[in-house]
Amino acid sequence: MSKDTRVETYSRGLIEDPSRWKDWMGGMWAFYLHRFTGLVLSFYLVMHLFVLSTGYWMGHETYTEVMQAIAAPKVIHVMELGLFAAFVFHALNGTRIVLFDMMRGLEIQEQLFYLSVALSFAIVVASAPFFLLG
Amino acid sequence: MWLLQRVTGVGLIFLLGFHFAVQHFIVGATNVTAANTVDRITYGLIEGDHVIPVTIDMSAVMYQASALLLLAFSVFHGMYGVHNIVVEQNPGEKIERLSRYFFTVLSVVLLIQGVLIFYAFFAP
Amino acid sequence: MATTQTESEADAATEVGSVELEVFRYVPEEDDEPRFESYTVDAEEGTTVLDALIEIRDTEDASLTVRHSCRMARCGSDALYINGKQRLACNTLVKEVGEPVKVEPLPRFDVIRDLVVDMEGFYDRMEAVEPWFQPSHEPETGEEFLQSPENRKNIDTVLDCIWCGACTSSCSPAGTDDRFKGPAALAKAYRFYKDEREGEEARKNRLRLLEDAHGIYRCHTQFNCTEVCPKGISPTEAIMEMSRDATKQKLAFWRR
Repeated sequence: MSKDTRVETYSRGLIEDPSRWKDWMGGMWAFYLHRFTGLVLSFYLVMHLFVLSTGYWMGHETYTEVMQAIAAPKVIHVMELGLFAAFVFHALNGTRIVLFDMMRGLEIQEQLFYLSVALSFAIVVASAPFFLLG
Repeated sequence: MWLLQRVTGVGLIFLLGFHFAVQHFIVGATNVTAANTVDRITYGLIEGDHVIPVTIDMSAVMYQASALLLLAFSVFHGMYGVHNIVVEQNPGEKIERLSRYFFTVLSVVLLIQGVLIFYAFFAP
Repeated sequence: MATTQTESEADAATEVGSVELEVFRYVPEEDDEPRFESYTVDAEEGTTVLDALIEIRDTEDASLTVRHSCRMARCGSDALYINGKQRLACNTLVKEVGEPVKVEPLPRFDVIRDLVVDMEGFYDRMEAVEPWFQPSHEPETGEEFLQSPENRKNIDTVLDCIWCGACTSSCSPAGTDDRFKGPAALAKAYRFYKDEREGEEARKNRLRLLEDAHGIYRCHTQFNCTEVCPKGISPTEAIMEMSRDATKQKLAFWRR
């Protein structure tokens, strides 16, 4: 950060260092979860469109085969539930952020974060059967 | 851009929520075939053999609009979001510009790909 | 401070007992690696972390370097990272943070020696938002240029900023992005942004100064700055209001 070269300085590193996770406050967790789920969803979007494009490039039969093959293993269903969880949290925390942009709820930001986590959890648990049994 | 990120974000809550509902609650991930994808894209969401029975028909135009809007919104929101993470590392003008080009091109590729997929299953 | 207290005062103060402190020690010219040194001091009900550090320096290790001045949370010299949070050492009681008290210099600032960090970059950021009064017009000769009490109310909290750097040290975007001015500077910008004596043109200029790709929109509403501010300022709120106004201004421009 410094331009001063009179003294040697030592860079302290970042408080984002995972070893400091105990010190993170609510808003910090919200930020990192939002960023992480955002990256997951963006990556999924790219892969999703790539996989679906078999329907254009290789014809409908291949598409059906690919879709059935992907949906077959149980582990995929768990991952899909994870993706859904990422979406739900990103959506709820996104709503929280939009509220801040409109100057609402700034004083109860930490409670709002816990609320969005709790709501996400409830929604994910409630919809788990659709993913795991369907 | 900042405002667009908010607007698409709010839009995506509904669009992506609807998308999840259709694919996982109504159709079911294991039941996706080319045939029923064609049906949905061409004729909309209609009553039929689903995991959850659909009681209200959704018009074809509405379904098509939701699909294409979902494509546009998610590509913008996702790519702009990742680009922002790059900018925030303050990597310097050059990498910032490269990142902007990269994600613009990637967005266009994804949009074209999405429209092609839509076209592949659109058979009136 | 225990050593300077009179008998009666010492009697009145409740004894907390000995408290253990782990203090970050590092002399860049001599040491290869920083280390933590353990000290034990006698603490009372009202002993602050700064009191304890001064006690250590006076009685145990005179080489311990810590920056402090007013000792009453007005000067902003002694912002430190105490038990995982940016706090003013003079404004933090030893008994309120729990043992051992882990004292480190401000994260994201370069260490000059022990607990003293280089504030130069922070001051550069403060200066970048033009933190000086830019009135739209001069009042009549000899007249004092008064601000209306209603207008003054808007900036009651942000005016309390003591430039201690705690918020900027806690802010992730400010840490990764040197060009992001950070919460302290943006709250300072807000202080002038809300001052009606500056006039419409200056307001617009101030927003223009802040709203580039590395400006106000980099705020991720982590609220770390708001949580750590020893003066109870909410820079997040100030930033949100300015980014909202900047967006409105842009939309109004398009409509024209």
